[in-house]
Amino acid sequence: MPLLECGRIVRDSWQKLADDAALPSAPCILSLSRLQQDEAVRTAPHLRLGVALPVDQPAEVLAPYLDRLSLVAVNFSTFRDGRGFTQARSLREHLAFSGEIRATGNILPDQYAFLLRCGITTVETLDGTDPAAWQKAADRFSFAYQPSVLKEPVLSGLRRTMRLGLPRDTDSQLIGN
Amino acid sequence: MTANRLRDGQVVWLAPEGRWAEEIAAAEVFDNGLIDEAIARARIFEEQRVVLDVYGVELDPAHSGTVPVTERERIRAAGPSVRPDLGRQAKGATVHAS
Amino acid sequence: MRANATLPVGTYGYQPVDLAFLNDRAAQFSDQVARRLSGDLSEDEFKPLRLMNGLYLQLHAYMLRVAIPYGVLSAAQLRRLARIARVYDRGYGHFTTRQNIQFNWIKLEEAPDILAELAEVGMHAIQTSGNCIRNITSDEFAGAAADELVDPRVHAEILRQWSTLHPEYSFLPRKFKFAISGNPHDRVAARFHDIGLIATPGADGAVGFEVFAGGGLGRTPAIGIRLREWLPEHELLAYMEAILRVYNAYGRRDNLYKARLKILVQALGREAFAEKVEAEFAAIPKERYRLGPDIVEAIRARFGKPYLDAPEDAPAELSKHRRRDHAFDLWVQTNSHPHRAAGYISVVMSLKPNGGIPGDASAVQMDAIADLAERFSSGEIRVTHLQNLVLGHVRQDELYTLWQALGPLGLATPNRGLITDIVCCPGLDYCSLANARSIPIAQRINERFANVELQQQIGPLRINISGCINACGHHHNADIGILGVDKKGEEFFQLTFGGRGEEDAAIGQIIGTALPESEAVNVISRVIDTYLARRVPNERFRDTYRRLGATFFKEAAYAAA
Repeated sequence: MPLLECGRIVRDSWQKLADDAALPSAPCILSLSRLQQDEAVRTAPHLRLGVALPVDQPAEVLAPYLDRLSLVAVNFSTFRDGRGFTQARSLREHLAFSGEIRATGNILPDQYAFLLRCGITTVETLDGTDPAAWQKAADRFSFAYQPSVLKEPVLSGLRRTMRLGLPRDTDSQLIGN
Repeated sequence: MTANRLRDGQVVWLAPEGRWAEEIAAAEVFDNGLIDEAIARARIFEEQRVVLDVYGVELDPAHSGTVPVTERERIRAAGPSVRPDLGRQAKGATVHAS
Repeated sequence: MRANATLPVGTYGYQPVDLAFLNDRAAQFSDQVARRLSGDLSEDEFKPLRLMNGLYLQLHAYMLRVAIPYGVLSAAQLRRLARIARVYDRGYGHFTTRQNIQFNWIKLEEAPDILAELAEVGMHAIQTSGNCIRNITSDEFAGAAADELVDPRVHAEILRQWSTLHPEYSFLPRKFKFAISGNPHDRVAARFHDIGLIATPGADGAVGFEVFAGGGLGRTPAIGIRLREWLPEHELLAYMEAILRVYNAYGRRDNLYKARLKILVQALGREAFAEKVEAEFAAIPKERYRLGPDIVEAIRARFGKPYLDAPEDAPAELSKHRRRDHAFDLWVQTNSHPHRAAGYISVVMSLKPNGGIPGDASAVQMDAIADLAERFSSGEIRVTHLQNLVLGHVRQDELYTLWQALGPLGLATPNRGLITDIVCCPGLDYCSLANARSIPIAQRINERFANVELQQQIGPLRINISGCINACGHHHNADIGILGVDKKGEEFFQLTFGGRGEEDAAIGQIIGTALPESEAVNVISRVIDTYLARRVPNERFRDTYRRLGATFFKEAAYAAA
């Protein structure tokens, strides 16, 4: 599936690893139970690891493993289920996680700015997605009325200038596979 | 069979030949046995973004005309019972809330 | 004449940057409507987006709910609402129990134009529906009442801004309602909200908040638990973040009817819930969410102040008119509230005339009220959670002239707080969720008790009517609550008694079976007769009811039913 990062479609170097699959050499996203139970995978040298955080688990369950993780995927089974926003924000704000947070599942372009402001960096989108629609949605507002994990500069009062890290030029998209 | 028109939310009734009418009096009447199939067919109007929420309305057998059996559907067909100057009732529709 | 002609009185004066935000929001919705009409968005995807702009699909058309933050409007804003009623609707609007206004005959295609028109006067429909933080309600006499300790509107505005398009809390398990008051006499039903705040002054002029959480009405009425006795102002936003974050993470999403915060509080237990909130609060980086006095003052500075300078003989003038005109005296007695400034008074314009529809106002009335507000009350109008309108700052010597102008507009009914001041949702006449009509039974009760002397004799009594279990008419917290139910296609009404919304909050009890409309009105009549026969002098209905008990009233009222 196309992966959106900073408003562009980029190559996805991660693969999901089934619970019974053998250890690959490429970066892989594990289930939480495999991460918790498979010490061999956790201690495998030079293997970049990610985990799919179940939607009903608090981000804090990842605390023991965070220094081993380069990616956390949060899932939106429907775009109306906003738990992933809190999981992402907890990862950034309470656990100081600095790796990739990936949103998967059913998400609308209209939610892009919310995702980014909660600390999500990449979005798995559907085939045929137009990144310009996401960019347009995220660019809609120039400021927000509350702080976010992006530590945006104060504009005045409660207002923060939005700095979503998106390119202004949507023509130079990097198209990956 | 009734729905609300997507563009303006207006209450409409499925009339013969696939036309959506604003008057319940113009509605096509289906036998109970045929209504499910008719609703399934009418879903095409949702897909075509003409109307929303197609469903069947039961008519009151005590009346000869197209008078719904429930208060809710009588109000939808006529207008608010507390504002007789508004809705289809204001334009002479014959269905009145009780 | 106003102290600061550039700022609206009693509400936040939008700066150009805020107006630009509203324009962007209107443009965003315009795009979303276009995507819906072109098929880019399915109805399933579009519905939450339109709801977060206040747009419902109701029985007859789309309904647009416009936010009136903390219930305060400027004259210019009210005129704009009148214009929207005339141009885009059928010439009227309905003021709701959440201090909003609803238009019932809206076209989807025109909704973006309406939002653009609202944006011009600093108004919007943001988060008036949807599973997000809704309009912040407050006390209708805020900033005017003699008994007030803190004007809560500045903090209501802070909460409004903070909650607007909040990145984390726009897709909550369910809707989330705030109320805030600065008065020890709770006029906002703080204990019946997801979060209720009572602002109180501390030492050295500091402001703090008593915090209640997990209250609500609807299917499972609950009284909120007190989480904090005194939360300091600078921690307000951090603490709200903590409550919302616990709710967003743990609130149920599998069952629409068990998704509100109150259910989470009940499921976890008050201790465990409070512990979770405090743990989250302890972990939150306080500096990031700090509400500094500079921010509070900057927002306070955007509120215009009323012009308060009455002549010394203003009270004497008022007394003179009251002595000469009995009808005026009666109206002042019921429909006014003491003002903090000498020579001033607040008055309630009843939207509950005999034979009317509770909460409805015509475009003609709205325009006229805007004119009167400019002439008599520093251009400020308030909407009450009991669906009336208030002019907050009227000079006592001008009250008689104001009253004379209100009469012909149908706005001088002397029934505030009396049995005909009925709170009522739109019910099955408009609402697609309703099981029964609520307006007609309100009208029947109004007719039954139309006699002004009888109403005065009965005294303070609240009747609230909801057309379904969602309880938009707040039937649970009234002296007499009426809930419309559907029994095999017939409209029935379930009565509850003994509810209270204030600081002694209580949920009304069911004491008999649901009845058809006319019988329900008869039962209410018998309950009132019993009360009048058995009360001690000056005893309010609620006190008599408490003293004699539910069983006593049940026997008296349902005996013949």
